[in-house]
Amino acid sequence: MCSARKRMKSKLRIMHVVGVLLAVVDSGIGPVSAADHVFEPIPANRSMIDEGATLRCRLRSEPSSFNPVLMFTAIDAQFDYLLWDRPFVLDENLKWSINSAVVESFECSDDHREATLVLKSGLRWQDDTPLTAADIVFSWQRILDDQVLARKARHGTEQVSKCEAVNPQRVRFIFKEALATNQWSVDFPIVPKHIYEPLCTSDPTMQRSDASVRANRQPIGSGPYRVTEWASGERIVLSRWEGYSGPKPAFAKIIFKVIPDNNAALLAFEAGDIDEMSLAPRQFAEDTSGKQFADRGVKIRGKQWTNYYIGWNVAGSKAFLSDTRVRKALGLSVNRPLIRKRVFHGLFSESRGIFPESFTARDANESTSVFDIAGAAKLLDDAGWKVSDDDGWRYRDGGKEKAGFVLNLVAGSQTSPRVADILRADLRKLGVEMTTQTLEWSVFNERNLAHQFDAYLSAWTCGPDPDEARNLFHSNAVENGRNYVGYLNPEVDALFDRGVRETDPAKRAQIYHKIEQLILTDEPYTFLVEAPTLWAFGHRVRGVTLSPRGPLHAFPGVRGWWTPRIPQPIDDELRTGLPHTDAP
Amino acid sequence: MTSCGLDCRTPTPHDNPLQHRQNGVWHYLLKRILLTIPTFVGIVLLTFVVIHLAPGSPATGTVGGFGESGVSAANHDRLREHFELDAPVTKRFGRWIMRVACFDFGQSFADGQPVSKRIIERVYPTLILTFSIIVIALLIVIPVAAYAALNAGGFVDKVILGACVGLYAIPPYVFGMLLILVVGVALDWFPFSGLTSEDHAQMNGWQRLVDLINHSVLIGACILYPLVAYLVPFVRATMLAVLKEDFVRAAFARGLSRRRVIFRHVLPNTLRPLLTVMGLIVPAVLGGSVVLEVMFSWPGMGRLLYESILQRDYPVIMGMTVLSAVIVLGVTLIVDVLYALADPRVRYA
Repeated sequence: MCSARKRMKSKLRIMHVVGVLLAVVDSGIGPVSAADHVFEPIPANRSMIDEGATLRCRLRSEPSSFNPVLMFTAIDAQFDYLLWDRPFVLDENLKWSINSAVVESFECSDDHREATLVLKSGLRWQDDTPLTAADIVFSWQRILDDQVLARKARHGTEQVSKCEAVNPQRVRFIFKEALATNQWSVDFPIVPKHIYEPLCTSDPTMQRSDASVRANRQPIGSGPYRVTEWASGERIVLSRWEGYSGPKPAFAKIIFKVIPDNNAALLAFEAGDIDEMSLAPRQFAEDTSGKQFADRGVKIRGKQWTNYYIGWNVAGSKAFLSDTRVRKALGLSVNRPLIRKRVFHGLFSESRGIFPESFTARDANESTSVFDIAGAAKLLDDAGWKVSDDDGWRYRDGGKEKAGFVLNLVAGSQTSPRVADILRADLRKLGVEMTTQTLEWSVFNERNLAHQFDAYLSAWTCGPDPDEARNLFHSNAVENGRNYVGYLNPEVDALFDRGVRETDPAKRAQIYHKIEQLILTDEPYTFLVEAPTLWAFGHRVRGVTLSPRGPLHAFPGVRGWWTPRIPQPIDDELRTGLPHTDAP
Repeated sequence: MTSCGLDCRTPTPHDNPLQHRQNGVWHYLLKRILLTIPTFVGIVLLTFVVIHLAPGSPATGTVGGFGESGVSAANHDRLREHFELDAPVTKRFGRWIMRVACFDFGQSFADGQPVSKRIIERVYPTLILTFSIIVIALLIVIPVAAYAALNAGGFVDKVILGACVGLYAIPPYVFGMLLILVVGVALDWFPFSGLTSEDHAQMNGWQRLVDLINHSVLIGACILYPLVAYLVPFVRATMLAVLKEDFVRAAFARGLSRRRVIFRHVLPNTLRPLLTVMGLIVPAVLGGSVVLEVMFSWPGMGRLLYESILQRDYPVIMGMTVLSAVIVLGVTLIVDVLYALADPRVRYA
């Protein structure tokens, strides 16, 4: 009887394992592990949440300012949604959305030239002063003031030609033009007028006087957290503001620990000193496979709108790169599968285009990256670059001009030199000489701004609206933007100008699909791989949402994280079986 | 004798030895200070010129920032204007000197804070750590080296020398990583990140001190061991040389006790060259702690300088240069004066 029960149990266990395996295979998206608990949303029943808990996050370096008007680095942006409330936010899909905790209503006129925002009543700053329409108008004025170095906040806000307070709750925006992007233009940060107005009389820059610096480092915000400690070079402590009128965040305290070194940060994670950190590809693939890591947390891989690319100076002095056939040939000679495997540990995916699929009408399975050395050789032959019998390199015009270029790399990158090595080896087979030049970041940028380069290896993160890409591809951006490669295509320019005015999303998607096709045909940039978000979370962390900019830079971000009141035992499956997952 | 009856001959050192000794020291001190001034100006000028003429700038280093927006030539020009980089280098140096003359080092490009405040926040962890480690090193080095020298050729001496050579060969960052892995993570004996605990502000005075010491142990060990490994053989060799001097043999011959000879005659003569070495070691320790400060997330001067260089934060780099120059030149001056006090031959040279 006993042995029959045992056999039955054993059969059931086998069936269970087979069932799980079938489910995994059937899903087609790889393992769905127990790490899914990280994404468990904040429960409605607050008694399940440990509301006195402290979250410990890793900071790579200190922020430059807590003043949202002056914020410009990714580190600064980590604090934005925690310290400040905004009427509009980027949700986890990086879509523009209304923050219901702040906004009563928002209406845009039919001609897209005017919008009216009505704030919720009872909004307050952390010093209990009411947050009103006057604060919004003041912030808009500050952002557009030439004396204020509002590097990021100014972008887009310039489209608002008039911002006026109709009454303490109601703000009216008038736009310069009827653009599809006008909704982004009103998404600017709000600072307290009663704090900054007196300071601005003596310091209109908002950052030169001691009083301004103090106000920027110990801000009176409107968000659910306030700064309670800043130990220079060590940590920043945010404490929950209990007077916050919106949804109460779960963690009572968030401690941001400054740990500049990646390896030290991983050790701190494994020691339980921090609850989250971003992982380098090597760390994700190799350093986090042990029991020590599995005991502490899980690793997550999510989609990110970041593409690695090589920019070719199409308008430079090198005739070799100004020929589209040559650039196409160079693109064909990039062994992307090998790069993905050798350099990025198989974690990065194929780069399928310049825009995320949701922006265009592109077929999601369409492949844009082919490795074809023979095809590349043919294209170079057609372009007049023939292989010399003497040395094996390609030349044009009877040996006067050699096929080759210098690829600029940013110093400090672990992966760029390895990508370059793979590319160099394949180009050598093709008869094209590639040399590399490693430059410090500021020098790299300086060369790019001055268009003094042959080619450069870099990464580009697509913005939440496809129009942001005009900064890379529009001819206006050659002298005043990031179109360092000097790409000029009047058709692309016209399409960008049409796309920003088209308010029908379906028609817009068609326009950007066309732009994408034109750019991929002209190949001023060769896209290499798409980088994912790689992150580690402690077992107790819940409520994470992964946006295409990672888990920190979208709403609600850390605001939505929580930890259970009763610690839950770590699943054995988590420890040994499937310690990482792809984000749902 | 002269006709007026007064003694007008040139005084000799034998007339008033004490006064002459004091005059000699003051004269030597003045000479050293005067030599320090051009050295200081040279260091500052050279650093200013090098960082301002090097390719790249804070404007190109920070242009763009986060995400897709903000990269534009107009923004770049605004940044150059904001950082006052649009003026010629000579004019910028003139402005900087005028400010420094009023003890105003300007504002950090990175976060807008006054440079002096940023530096002061970071100076004390490094200085306290460095000087504590040097004192601890001396407390270890002198007895160990003395023991090794007095038992030269013996088993213990060989072990000490072997250990020193072995330890000196290990790079501090390797040793540091090992300490973090074993002592910090596996054994969890000491914290390996930062200067203080999260609840440092809530602690009483004694607890704060213990907390600071706890956080300093691992990084301190990484600075300490190469120092000890370098100094022990040096002091041992010096002591061996002193032990062979005639005056030591004479002292033994006079029947003085071994203890008296060593403490009264051998040690003071051994430590004199150590003074000179210490003058060289302080800057080396200050400069060499950059990697360790980054590794241990130690909020010290080295890390500040490292971050400032990466960010091209010129005002902070210059402020750190001034401070480092003052510390190094000051320590060198103090060592020279102490040496001159201890050895009259130096000040008469």
